[in-house]
Amino acid sequence: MWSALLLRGLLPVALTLGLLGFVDRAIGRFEKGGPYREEIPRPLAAVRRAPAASHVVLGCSTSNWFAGALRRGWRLGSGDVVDAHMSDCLQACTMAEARHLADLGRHFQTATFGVNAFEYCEAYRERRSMQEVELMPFEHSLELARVYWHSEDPLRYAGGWLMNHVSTVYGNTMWLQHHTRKLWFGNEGLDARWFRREPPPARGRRESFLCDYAKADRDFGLAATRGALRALEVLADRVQLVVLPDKQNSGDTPEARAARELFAREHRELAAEFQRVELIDLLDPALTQRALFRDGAHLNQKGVKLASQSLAKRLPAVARREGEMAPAPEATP
Amino acid sequence: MSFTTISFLTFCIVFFAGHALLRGRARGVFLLLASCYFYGSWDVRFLLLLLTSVVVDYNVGLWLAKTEGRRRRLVLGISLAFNLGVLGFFKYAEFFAESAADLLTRLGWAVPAPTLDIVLPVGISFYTFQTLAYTVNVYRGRLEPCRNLLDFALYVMFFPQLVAGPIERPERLLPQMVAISREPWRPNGSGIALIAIGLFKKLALADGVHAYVSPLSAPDAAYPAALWFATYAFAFQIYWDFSAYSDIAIGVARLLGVELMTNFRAPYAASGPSDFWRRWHISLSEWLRDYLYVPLGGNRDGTWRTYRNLFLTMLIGGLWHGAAWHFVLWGAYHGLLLIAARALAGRIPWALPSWAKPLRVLAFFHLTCLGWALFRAPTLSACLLAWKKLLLFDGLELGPWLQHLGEVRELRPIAAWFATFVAAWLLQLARPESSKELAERLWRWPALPRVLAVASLAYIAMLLAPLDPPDFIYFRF
Repeated sequence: MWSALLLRGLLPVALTLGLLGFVDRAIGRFEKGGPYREEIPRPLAAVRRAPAASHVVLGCSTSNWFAGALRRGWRLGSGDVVDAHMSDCLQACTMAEARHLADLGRHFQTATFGVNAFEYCEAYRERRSMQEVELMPFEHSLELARVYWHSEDPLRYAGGWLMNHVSTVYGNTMWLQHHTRKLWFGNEGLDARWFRREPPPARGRRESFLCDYAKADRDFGLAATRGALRALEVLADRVQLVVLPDKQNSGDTPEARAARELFAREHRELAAEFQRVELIDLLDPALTQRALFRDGAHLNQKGVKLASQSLAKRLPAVARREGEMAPAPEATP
Repeated sequence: MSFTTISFLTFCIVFFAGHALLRGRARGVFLLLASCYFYGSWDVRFLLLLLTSVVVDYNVGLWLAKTEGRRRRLVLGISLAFNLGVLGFFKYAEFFAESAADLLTRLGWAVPAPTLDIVLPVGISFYTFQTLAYTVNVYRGRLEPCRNLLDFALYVMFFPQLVAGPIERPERLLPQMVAISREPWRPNGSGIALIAIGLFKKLALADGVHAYVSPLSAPDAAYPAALWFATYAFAFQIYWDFSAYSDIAIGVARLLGVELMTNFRAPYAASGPSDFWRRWHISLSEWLRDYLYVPLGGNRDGTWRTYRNLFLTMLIGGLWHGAAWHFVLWGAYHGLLLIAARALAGRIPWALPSWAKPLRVLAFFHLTCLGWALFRAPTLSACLLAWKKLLLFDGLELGPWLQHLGEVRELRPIAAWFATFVAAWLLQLARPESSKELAERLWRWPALPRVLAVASLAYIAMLLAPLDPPDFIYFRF
């Protein structure tokens, strides 16, 4: 009876799942699977290549200038600071990356991690879920659940976690579609020109990466930052939480000032919950100017230069080698 | 929580696990709580409105059973006034207020249009019709009132069909809701096939073609040939979209052992307007027939009254879809088609040879498409402009449009979609069956091809799903 049940019921399911799993893996790893999938091993490889590094930078693309600023600020060599930031890797992903690195047996003297208001806009994306799932060691999955619980739709995050565990394609379908469309149809995207006699009226460039730091988003974002700080405390002796400016809340309007004050206050309170987290507040008037941004979240060249100088001034002293303290460039505020 | 979201998948995993573990009344209560969660996930405020509707109609049913004579009409009036009042306020108050202000302004009294900003509760048109069907049937003595609030609440709030139908009949659904708490769970596995078919239709087809219907919103800027293409695209988008919702609803219900009514049966294989309404949104057209057309007199009082009743029924059917004049126009158009078909019946030799039947179906498909242009156009003026172009007052301009498509490198995707429309239409013509019948046939296949087909459909749907899938079109109604 059991063999008949196996043959009739379970075998076709097992065969189908096996076949689909094979297809899924083939598609998911096709040309390495696109920029978001390729982004996952890149920082891990950077950490592997720097076995002597004692300082690590984590976070998303808004933190991509930290490594250089830290090296200059602390007068360290290139092998001392490892840049492990990852594109699109928001707070929950940073938490997963920190847990991953800790599980690899790495430990650092400092971990530096930056956030700005844009990273507090709750926007579920399959690819972000993919980064979290691929980086987070399975035994720490409850840490993710703890963060997802604070989202507006925990079922969606739980579903994303599940789907990214069973499929390599799910997290990257958008890239695959974009790639396939380009491959088959030779056009990257459908616009309104296909049916119009005249080209559509030109629209002004839409500002991207904006977030108004709304209450509904903050609950999730702060829970994720808290989770990231917990993981970073495991990874490093000292954690530097850098509060970064963003374009929407820059400028000298009362609303922007109020948003910045709220953002800084909430992060001060968050940092105070931890023993080894230091807050570096870069929301000073010199950096909160709209002209210093190339989009809603990222500083332009001039902004990076100013922010690097500002960060260097605020860096606490660190040990260059065991037993030796490097002088802080200026007093820590 | 839309059926095509990953949240719904998680919801189903949790729900079916709980459903399998529970027995008896606890199972019914769990289903009701799950339905409340499902509905509340859109806007928890409207859950209260829905629960009020449940309590009012449950008590009206009991009251009708105790009341005799002319007072029964009064009791029914309470249900009608409550349900239609709520529907009227949330769905039509703004529309009628704006239309009245517009009319007065045209007559010379400048009246500013009121801004009421009323949010439409999701699914209100569907569950209102379902509760009305219950009280009217109890009033007519065709149905014993439900004497258990849980069973009645499940009849109104059964989550698979709560927000976009099928609009079920109490005599069919109520006994099945009673059975949930009292009989063993007997899931119908073909529901899985229906869900996979629905996911494929919505994510791979309807959402894929979504970007190609935009000319109907800007007909002034479009080549006439592009407008025809957009009209075909919308005809298939709305069919794939709405029938997908019905497929998934029926599929999920089947997994619970509940059988919901067929809502679509190859509508573009219809050879005339009556045939179309026997295939398109069947649960609504039967509701309109039984609770509007027949009470108005149906075809019992002579030709002109029949025409009037047909026209009024379709006009109200159009208005049911949305509070806008273009929906009224769409309803009127279908009313006129029904009247014309009835008037011409017997005068035109409809008995065409069998080879010519597809031509008649094709001709009626184009009449349906003209209706869809009214349905989709955002304003009355856009309707008129779209029709002017679709009826080729400006010519077709196929050559210039094809040349333009080559220049903007969109010829291949347009050709691929057009081939898909043709294939879909031919498929309906060759096999004019509902998804239910298709799923049952698929479920009778040997195990390996069956599992492979179902899993592949769902997998392809996932592969082709857009980043932010648009809501089901009928959620707006």
